[in-house]
Amino acid sequence: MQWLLDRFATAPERVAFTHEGRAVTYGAVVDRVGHFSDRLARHGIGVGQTVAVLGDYSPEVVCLIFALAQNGNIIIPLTRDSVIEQSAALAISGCDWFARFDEAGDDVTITAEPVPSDNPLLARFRTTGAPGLILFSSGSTGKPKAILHDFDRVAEKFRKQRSSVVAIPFLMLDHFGGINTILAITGSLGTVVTVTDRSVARICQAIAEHRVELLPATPSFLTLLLVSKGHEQYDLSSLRRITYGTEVMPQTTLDRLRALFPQVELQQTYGLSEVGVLRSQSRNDGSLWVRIGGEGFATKVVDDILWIKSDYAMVGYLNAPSEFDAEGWFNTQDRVEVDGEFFRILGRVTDVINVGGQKVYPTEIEDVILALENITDVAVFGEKNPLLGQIVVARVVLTATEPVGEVKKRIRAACQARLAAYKVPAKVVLSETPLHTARHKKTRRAEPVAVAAAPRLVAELIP
Amino acid sequence: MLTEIEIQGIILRALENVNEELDADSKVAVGADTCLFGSDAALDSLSLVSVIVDVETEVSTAAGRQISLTDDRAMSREVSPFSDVHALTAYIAALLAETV
Repeated sequence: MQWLLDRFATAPERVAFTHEGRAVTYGAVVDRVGHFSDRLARHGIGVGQTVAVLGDYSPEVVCLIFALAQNGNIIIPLTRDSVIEQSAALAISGCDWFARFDEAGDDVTITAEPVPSDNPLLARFRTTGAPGLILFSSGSTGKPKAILHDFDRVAEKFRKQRSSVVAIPFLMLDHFGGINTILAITGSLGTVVTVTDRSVARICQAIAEHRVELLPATPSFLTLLLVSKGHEQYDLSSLRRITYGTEVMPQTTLDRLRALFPQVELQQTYGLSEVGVLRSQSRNDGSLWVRIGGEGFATKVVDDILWIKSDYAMVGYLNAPSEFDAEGWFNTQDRVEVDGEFFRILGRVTDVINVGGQKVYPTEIEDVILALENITDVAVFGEKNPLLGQIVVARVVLTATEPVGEVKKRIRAACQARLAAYKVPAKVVLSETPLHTARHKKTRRAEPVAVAAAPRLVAELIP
Repeated sequence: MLTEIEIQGIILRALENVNEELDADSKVAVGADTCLFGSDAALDSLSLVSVIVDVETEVSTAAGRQISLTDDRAMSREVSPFSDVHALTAYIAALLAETV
């Protein structure tokens, strides 16, 4: 960790954060980290103690996290709209201290709030004296899984300094991708532009105002950006690169982005909380083929499923058996196609719909539907059916009112023209509410909910 | 309360919708005797499922309550409700006649 703070000290005048109209330089970051270190000492917070940090993006929240890492603490970043219930989370990880930031993210109150834990993995980890990072995912069964990382190892990936950029962090700090982004941007002495909400208008405004060069986003957000025509109202000419991850990109959205932003490099990213974020390079033909890997990562494909071996892998789950095999390979559960050194990610095995024994990938159908007139967004999922096992259901958001019967006819006609018969949606339902979560990730469920399962894919930013 | 004629109308409309999608040489003769499921069925299982889903949706909307045509009850009846349009009409009418 010290290397990162030393790097900050080499550029004291450079702006590290732009937050709520104030600029915080790297010099100020070093000062603030020092100030928080003093506070930790005053509280008597020692090496190996677990500290939950509740707050959304602000320079102070990030500085406290750096101070805790430097102090050898185990950090649990939490946000106010956390996917996981706080009490459920802390019951798994245990906790010694709780640091609560106010809404503005400036002031923090640190109190001792012990929640006992005799987790053997944590106990073993503490003996190393290394700083820890605990993140929660809601897991495929809905039961939260706690992921323990060695913070130093996560940061180590950014020791090799890359060119600095002005970027908006998109994923939250309680998400591996969020932490990865902050380390990537500050590790290269770039500028983090924070936004108070992730609406299209707010993000576009921030891009225009702060001449943002890099926008890491989700395909859902980018689809929404195109539909709401944010690019027509705001000057987005500063953008040099848009990265997208966490879910499969619809080809139609990618095509439209390429046409609208010819000067912008579009880059798919790939990563998982368990193994970290891989370096990636999209094939430069506007396709979804991507080369992934980079130093410290190895990939292999077994039965069309991608496996990853990583030097930056988690220490382990606190409350679940390891998913690494004896040789350290991790099953991503993502089905891929392979073309030489390029992969095309088809989607999670668990998202696959089984229609009478035939496998259907939702994204393939979503692609066709999204290209139709009057469709703002679509989520395709399976529904139990006694005749076929499952049927394909398309939930759509329309731009203008249209009878559902008409929409279904158009969707079925388009799908019949382009897809095998079993992939054609048997059911079409109209949705009044958006199909993505508050974090701009698609909800493939019968009933959309405000907050969906935490994404397993966390890829966000790979400079 | 939906009459049997209204119910049959919903089924025939659903069949016609599917018919529109089919090639000229595989179109189904749509009528009260049209066989839906079984060895004489005019429709393949994918088309049938689409018809059933349409009928379920339409009837549920018109009757103001949810009905299921593919639950265990429907699937385990001795005379399949999907043998022809008559049978399906009678089955839906019986479902709707039940007090909730």
